[in-house]
Amino acid sequence: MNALIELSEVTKRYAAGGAPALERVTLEVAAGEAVAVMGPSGSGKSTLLNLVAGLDKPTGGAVTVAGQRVDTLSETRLARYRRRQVGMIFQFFNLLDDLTVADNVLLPAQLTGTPRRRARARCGELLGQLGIARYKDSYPGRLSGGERQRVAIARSLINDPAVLLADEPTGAVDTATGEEIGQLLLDLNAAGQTLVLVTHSPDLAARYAHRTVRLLDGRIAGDTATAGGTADTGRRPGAGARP
Amino acid sequence: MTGRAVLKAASAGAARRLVQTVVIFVVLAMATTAALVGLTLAATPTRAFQAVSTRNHTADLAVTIDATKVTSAQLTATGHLPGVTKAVGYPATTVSVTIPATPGYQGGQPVSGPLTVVGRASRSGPLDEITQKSGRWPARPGEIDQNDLSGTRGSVGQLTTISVTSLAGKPKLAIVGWASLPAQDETQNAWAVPSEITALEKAGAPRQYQMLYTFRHAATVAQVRADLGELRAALPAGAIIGGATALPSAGLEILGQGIKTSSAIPYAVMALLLAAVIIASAVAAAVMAGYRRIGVLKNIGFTPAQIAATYLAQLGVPALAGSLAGTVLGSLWALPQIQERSLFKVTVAIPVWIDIAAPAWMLTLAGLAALLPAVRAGRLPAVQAITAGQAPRAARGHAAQRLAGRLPLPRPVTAGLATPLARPARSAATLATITIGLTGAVLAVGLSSQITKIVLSIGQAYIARALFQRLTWLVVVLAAIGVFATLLMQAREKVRDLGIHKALGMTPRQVITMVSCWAIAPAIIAAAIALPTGVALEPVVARAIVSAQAGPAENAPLLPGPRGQAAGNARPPRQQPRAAPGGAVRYTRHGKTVINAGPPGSGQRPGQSLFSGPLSIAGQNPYTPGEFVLLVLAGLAIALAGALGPAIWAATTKTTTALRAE
Repeated sequence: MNALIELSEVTKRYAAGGAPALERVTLEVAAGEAVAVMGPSGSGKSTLLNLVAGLDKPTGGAVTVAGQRVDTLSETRLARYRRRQVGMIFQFFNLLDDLTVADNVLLPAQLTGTPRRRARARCGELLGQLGIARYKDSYPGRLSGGERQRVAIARSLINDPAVLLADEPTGAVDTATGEEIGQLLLDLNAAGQTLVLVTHSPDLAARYAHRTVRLLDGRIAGDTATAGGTADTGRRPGAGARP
Repeated sequence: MTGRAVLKAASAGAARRLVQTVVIFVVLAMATTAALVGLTLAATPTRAFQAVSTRNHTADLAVTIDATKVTSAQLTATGHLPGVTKAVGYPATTVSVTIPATPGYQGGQPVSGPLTVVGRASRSGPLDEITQKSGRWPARPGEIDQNDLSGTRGSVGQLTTISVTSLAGKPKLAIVGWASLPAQDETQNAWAVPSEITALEKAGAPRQYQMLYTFRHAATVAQVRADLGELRAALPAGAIIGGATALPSAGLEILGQGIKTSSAIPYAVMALLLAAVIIASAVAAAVMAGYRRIGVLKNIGFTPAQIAATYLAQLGVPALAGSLAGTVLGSLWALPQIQERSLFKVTVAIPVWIDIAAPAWMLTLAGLAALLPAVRAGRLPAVQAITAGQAPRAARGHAAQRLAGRLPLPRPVTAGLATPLARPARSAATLATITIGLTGAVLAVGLSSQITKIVLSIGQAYIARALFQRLTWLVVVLAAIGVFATLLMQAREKVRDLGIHKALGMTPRQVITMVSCWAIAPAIIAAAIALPTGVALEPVVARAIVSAQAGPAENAPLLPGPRGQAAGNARPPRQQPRAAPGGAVRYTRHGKTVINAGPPGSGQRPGQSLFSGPLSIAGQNPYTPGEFVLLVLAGLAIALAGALGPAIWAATTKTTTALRAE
């Protein structure tokens, strides 16, 4: 398998001598795959996501994304890695309340120095595809939870990241909205976007992921194929995906 | 039980928010220090600027006696006059010397002039203590220790030998050290072993005595005048041929008052204002940062009064500790530092009421700043209190963000420049602190460049300049601390937003840039306010200094100094004095008489018109365009100095922790 994400014997301890949040986890995610990570609270799901995103560093082992060792990068290089290779979707959206919807979406592009015209065009495209173009000059405080999460998804895609990481993306919205978000993610994956999804919901995992990895006490307790997800069409992430 | 619950909530809150607790402590300490210094300078100017001889171990009066006109018995008797508490005499003489051409001194030309040498076995005497600044005290004839008036040593430090030109054979004197007295005393230009005086007298030098006196009443020039009159009445006419008061000379007391009314009060006001702004901003921010916690306490069952009490206790303990620390710091270190080197190593006991008023005022300010938002939070419904601290203030700063986003600047810069507008009150505090600090710097630059032209004594001008510099550093440092405290609170408040930026790929350097830019816009606005304010204030202060010197007759110099100008301590050529008939001394500047003090009792007083030159100079703009540019940069420097700490904290705080912050 041509692995896009590789975790090799990864361990993470937050306190010396304390119980590990992750213990000798080995995991591969192929390009275009949708993987759901499940487990009870404290099982290490968010820790795993943070390590892949470069928001944290493992105590042991190696994390490789798109052929690059992430765990050995400096803080500055990690920031650049996140800009270009990673799109993150959070449970509570993590939008900047004093920026408009469009400015929130543009922020990662501005950090990478994308030419303004190209960035705005891409922003418009994404907002249109996600059905929130009419809110581009609005502020997040005025949007519903589902709309905010769409903004967050648009922001995560603006730099065409190699990996989309979603941490409980439907955890803060109602069921119906959660369905919509889930379908969005499904469509993105259908377009070829590699997706790692942390969720409590077996249903979400079953419907929107190729595989489900179960964590228990920091270790992989199961790694099974599911009936969900779509085949890799090879299309560019976001391109043509419609809500 | 209720009190225990309040104390428990307060102590837990203080422990959990350790950074905030430390910031409150530091802010109160620094603000109280500044308030104490400010109040002392403003309220006790005469004491602050007087050399108190009993504390400083100096004589009140030094007089030079013509030994041919008095007997030893007559001199001894002066020690028993009703007004005299102590008297001591030393052999002395005045000779003419020539300083050889010395590079960097007096245009590299030889300089000739009188030198009054006093014979003493050691630096320590019953009435004074001479400080050895370099080299050593003379050990044998032929050696002298030179009095380093006005820091002349800096120009002629390499000089080692001078020639006595008024005596046959032109004997040489070797300078083996540089020393100084607490007071400017030009009756003692150098010291030698007593046998050197004998040798000079044998070679034809005039026989003189130097008499040092302390008096029962010598706190003002008027009192010392009366003491001098008592001495004069007890000695034959013409016996007293020179002298100096070991109080600040008349000119310095005048200058001291001028400094009080001009520079000390503006700086005192600046320090007090800064203290008030910083405390109000820091404490109010601390309370508002805890709004969510206030909501939780209300949910538990705390009444509004208990909420207010909790916060007053939580902030009151570090505030009280800080104000006490500031009182100690100000009394024992800051004020003596400001006064010591500026003013003859004088330290003045601070009046008790200031020791109480300074911390009390700072605590009152802190209490008011904490009480108002705490009471407001206490009255909110619990849910509103919880969300009040979290709810985005979406309406503020939007226009600024949109406008900034259009600027052709990197995103971290535009984000940083626009952020202050989302918190106008806090930004106003940042603006105020930088403005006040920069105004102090503007004032100091202008006064420093003019001071040697508007103060008649070069030595006193240098002292005044040193004082401006120290006071300016005080307000500038306090301003930087104010910016630090405000921005640190703001960074902690916006930690989640900072975490989002970092999660999206903002590098640590970009985070530092963004947070630093929070202070840039206020700094630019501050410069626009502080520069014209300082420029407008400077001539007011400068004129006050000049006007204070042109005071009534009783403030004229008491006694003529030695005839002519002492060699080795020569003033710049433009102030070369000329001996005048009758022992009067004239100092000229640009060909005009600046001081014309007649012999004692002549009634001659300095003419008001003699100060028209300095007054004219005081009214001129002393600033150059280059200085304006530097002052703008100084404002930015103050802002960035305060912003650096919070910026580094923001860059290094863990992203995952920041994202979980509420």
